[in-house]
Amino acid sequence: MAAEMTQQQLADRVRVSARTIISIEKEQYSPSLMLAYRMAEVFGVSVEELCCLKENRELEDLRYENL
Amino acid sequence: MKIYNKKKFVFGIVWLSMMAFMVIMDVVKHEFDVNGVVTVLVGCLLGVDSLARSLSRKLTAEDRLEEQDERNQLIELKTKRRAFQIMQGMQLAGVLIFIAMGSLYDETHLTAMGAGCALLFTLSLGVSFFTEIYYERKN
Repeated sequence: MAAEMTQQQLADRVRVSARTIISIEKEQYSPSLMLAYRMAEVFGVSVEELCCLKENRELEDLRYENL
Repeated sequence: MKIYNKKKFVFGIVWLSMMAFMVIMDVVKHEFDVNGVVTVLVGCLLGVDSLARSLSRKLTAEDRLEEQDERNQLIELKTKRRAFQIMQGMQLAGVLIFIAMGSLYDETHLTAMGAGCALLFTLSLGVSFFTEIYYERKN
């Protein structure tokens, strides 16, 4: 999903700080729905694809079954 | 000269006024020490920085972005919550320690300090309770 932009450029486009983008990339922070939508628009993908929602849901379902 | 951030502008003016007042008091009393000079310097730097940021469009935009950044807001919320919990813990510990020590050594001022801690703890519980009611209704 490389759109050839820096973290700062992405941060400016979605109106957050670069530190937030770094935290999202490191999976230390989950973006809000609106932020995820803005980022998806920048990359030209859906929110589901950006956040790998389908894969994450399957992982969660697996963990829930193993409880 | 346009003021882009009124809050920071006022903050800067207040700080610089306080520092000017401190310098005047030191001059009137003829009391100069290193601590005072350092305090005034640091205060002036804070004041000037605040003023400069409030008068710059670019810097104000940067400040607004940092303020409204969702991750920063979350961190601020978490920090304040944790700090409040720690303070409550310290107040409770203060109540127990001071009252125990006051009883043990028969020192009324220690017991009074324990009572003070108890009052603060009770107030913090009350504030927490009513704030929760407010946010329960709001959300």
